[in-house]
Amino acid sequence: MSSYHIEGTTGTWEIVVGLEVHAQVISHAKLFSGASAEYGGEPNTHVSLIDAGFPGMLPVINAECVAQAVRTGLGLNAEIHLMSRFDRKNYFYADLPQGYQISQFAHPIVGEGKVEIELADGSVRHIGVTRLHLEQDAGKSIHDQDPTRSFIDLNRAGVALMEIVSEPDIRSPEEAGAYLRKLRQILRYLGTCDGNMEEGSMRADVNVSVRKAGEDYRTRCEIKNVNSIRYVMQSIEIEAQRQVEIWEAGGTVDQETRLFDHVRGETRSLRSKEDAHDYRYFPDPDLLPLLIEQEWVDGLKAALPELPEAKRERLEKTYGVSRYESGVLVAEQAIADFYETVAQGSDARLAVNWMLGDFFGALNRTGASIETSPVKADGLRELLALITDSTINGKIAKEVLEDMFETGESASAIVERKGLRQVTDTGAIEAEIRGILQTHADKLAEYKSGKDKLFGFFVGQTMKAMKGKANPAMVNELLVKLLAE
Amino acid sequence: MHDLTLASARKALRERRLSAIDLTDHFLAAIKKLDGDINSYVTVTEDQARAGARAADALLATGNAPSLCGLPLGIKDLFCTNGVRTTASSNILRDFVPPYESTVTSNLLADGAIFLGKTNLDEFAMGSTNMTSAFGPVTNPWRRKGTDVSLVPGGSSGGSAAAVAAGLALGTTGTDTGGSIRQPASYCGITGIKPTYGRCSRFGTIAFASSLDQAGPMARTMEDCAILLESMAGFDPKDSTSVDRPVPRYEDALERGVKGLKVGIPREYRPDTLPDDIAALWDQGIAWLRDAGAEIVDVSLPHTKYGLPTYYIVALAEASSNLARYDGVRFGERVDAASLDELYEATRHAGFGEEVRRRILMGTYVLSSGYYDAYYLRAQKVRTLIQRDFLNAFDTVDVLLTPTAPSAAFAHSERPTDPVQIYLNDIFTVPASMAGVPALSLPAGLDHDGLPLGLQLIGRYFEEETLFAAGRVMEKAAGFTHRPALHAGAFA
Amino acid sequence: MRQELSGILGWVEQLNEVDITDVPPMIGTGLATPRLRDDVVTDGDKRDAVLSNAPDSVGPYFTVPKVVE
Repeated sequence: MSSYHIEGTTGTWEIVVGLEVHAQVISHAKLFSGASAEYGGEPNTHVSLIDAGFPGMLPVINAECVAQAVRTGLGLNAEIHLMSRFDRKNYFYADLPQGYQISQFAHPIVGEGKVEIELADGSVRHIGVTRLHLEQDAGKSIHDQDPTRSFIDLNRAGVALMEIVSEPDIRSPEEAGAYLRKLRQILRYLGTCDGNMEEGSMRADVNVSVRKAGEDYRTRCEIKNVNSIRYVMQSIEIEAQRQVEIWEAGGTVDQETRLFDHVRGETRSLRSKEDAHDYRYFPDPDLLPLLIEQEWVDGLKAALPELPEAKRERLEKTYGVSRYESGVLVAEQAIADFYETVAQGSDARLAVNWMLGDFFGALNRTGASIETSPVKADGLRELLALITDSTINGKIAKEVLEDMFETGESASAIVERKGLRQVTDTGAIEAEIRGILQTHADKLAEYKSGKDKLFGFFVGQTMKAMKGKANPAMVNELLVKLLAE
Repeated sequence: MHDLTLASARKALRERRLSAIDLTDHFLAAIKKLDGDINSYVTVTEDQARAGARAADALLATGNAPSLCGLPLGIKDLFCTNGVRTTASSNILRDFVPPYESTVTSNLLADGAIFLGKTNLDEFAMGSTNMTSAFGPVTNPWRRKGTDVSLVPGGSSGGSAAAVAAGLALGTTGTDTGGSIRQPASYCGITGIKPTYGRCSRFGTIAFASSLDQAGPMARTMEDCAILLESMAGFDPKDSTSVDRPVPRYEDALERGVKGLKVGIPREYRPDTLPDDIAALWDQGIAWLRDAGAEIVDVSLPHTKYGLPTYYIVALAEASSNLARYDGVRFGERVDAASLDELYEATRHAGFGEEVRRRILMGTYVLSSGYYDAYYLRAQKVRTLIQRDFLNAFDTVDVLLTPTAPSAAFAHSERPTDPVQIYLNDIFTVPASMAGVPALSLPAGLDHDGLPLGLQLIGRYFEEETLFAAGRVMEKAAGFTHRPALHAGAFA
Repeated sequence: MRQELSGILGWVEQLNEVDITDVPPMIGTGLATPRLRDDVVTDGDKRDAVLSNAPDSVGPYFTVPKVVE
């Protein structure tokens, strides 16, 4: 059980949260028209007369949007409904051209599923998914261009969305965050949604209530359209606190829709239950029921990419990486792919150490991502190969990696250009050591009188004199021999 | 020229006995002369019609002309026409100029048809008298014997029916949601067919009730309707409810006859209140078919009486949603206001007429939370029972014969004030619409006042050919050559 | 209009006498086969047409009275 609780004056409260995530489907065209679904574009250019709701215009379902919803359902281990149906959700709004949104209300394409989340303490929980359905996005209202008018851009109108509804299984802000991150990770792996919350391609409605242990659910409030994971977590905390205060003051929480104001750190009422729209859902008579075949679903299933959990287990098994390391590697498909490219033909342990250590460090420092990194997987693999075959040592390799990030040159080119090839010539190292022992005759005497710690000093002096290029193992070996003379 | 049918005009054009420009000018002149009284056209596209006719003449000269080349038609102002104002006879679309063409009119244009203009209708096709048009009522070209009282043409395709009856077009397009082609065809003494739901594309046709709306032709004869339907029909990937089936050559079915055909007579279509003239004409129609070799079978469609209330629930629910897009933002008339809600309210109040507002209100009500199951869902289940009635009947018979409407045309002043009484005009046409089966109306005779009466043939899904064959037999037997009081020929 | 509406509602009440046990709602003629569209951009890039009938537009936008959230 979650350890998250709110301590009130009347006792301990637990929170109950369910999320409705709106995820924009990756597709070329819109859900019911042939207009582009691409983000951006000049205002009202990605618009067909169907999207603008012109008289006599009719919707036709985009096959790829259906496939994407099915893939997502499969990725969430959910049941796929071979018969689903589009309903009209009727309400008037400036950016809703038809006067209704086409959505799957009564018969969604995907039914119950679940998402496994892992918390910071290593514990694992399962969050139920109630359903996933397809629906149209609305257009955009622009309020800041004119003193008396709002402007309407319909480029988004009609773009396919998946609404993924969770069970009220979430018991802490941390779980909400973990659920959203996991969901986004799965969607990105599947290639069904880019999960970009800044561009609005993923946003959440958050249902929050509080209760005492063992109680039934109390009244919930819905916080609309929260557009970052951090805000979701904050809004839950703030809203739960507000509700606890109301209950403890002897009041009752009203079922209502609220907005989260992250600047003021508060939620506030948007509309009460009484003002809620009556959407007058009914089956869209312009569309037939959506019938898909099990065979087609099976085909999509067979072509699904490896999902994070499976990949994680495989990486652990194949490359011997730890549970923690595999978690970091599968966070993004691109990271895992990068790792596997590096690890193939390299020492897998060396590869994971370098990737999660120096390579990620360099990415952070330069502000690059795995996709935009100037050092590609092949380049890092080459660098590691130079370590493995003793061309350079680890310390020099760090320097080479930095140079690779700056110049984009290959590791071997940098080693050649800067003459960083490791010295493995016994004679040269021995000559250098003899010189150092002469220069530091006093230290040598101290060493011989029992000050063993000075061994490190001689190693350092040798490496320094050889500009770090000496093979560390050979330096050690020769020093032991010469100090014993 | 005023006595031409579409088929005879087509023959004359092909044989170069007549030019398309002369034919078009004839109709434009007739419209000028008569339509001030009839009001069957909302918009006349004189220049476009003439330009089209000249192009048609050039094509006809090559001997390689498409099927409808040079034939002047009227288009119900519910079909969107590219660059030509399309109003649905509503103030809210008074100046709407679609930048696109409906699939049905595209098909007709591709086959070389000439559009004379856009014909009047009940606002958004909601009505059966054509009195709800924002462009004024249409006058039926027919008069009761010895009177000059102006009568309704029926509706909603009243302008299309009146234009054909008065000789102001060779043929017209109509749309039928609950009888909007067949009932005005009956009132105006012409032929009209509502094909199977899904036969003609709904793309680009302004929607009233999506699950019922179906386009069809209106013309003087069975043959003319067959020619027009072949052009209008066809699969359209832009309409998800369009059915992917080849379009037969309907003309080829016209002379098939009815020998061995089983004709069902549904007993529920003979209420006690059925006027004697209509009952007698129906019996006459039965006799014609029997004489031509058909077998007459009594059948029962037990859920007939529920057709109308079911229809109104389903049609109004869909209409309330379909008409939500007229909000004064992207197209159509707008009444400015300080807030968005006030803009919607003012725009829609000013833009929609009373009947449309009444239907939107009703439709909104039957879909509202807590009422959906009691009204809409129940109605859609009853609709299944109505559909089963037809499917059961068609297990034993090939077509059904019924009257088209429970009365002849009536005067504008006689229009009942009770909406339910008005709705009863559609009592015989609505069930076929609910089931989506094809049905046609043909002029079979005159009542004691000298007004035309129609009979209705209803067929199996996609068996329009059987309807044309049976209709042709009746057409020949009826020999309906009467002309209305207002007719282009009367002034020639 | 209120009186007319209740008249219409009273009239449709007769549907309550129909036994609809186990009857599914009608969904079309049952003859149209469901079709899906290919995911190809075939439309859009027609702003002039989209805005051509707008009662009020500013630059590339439709307008409505200011909406305050």
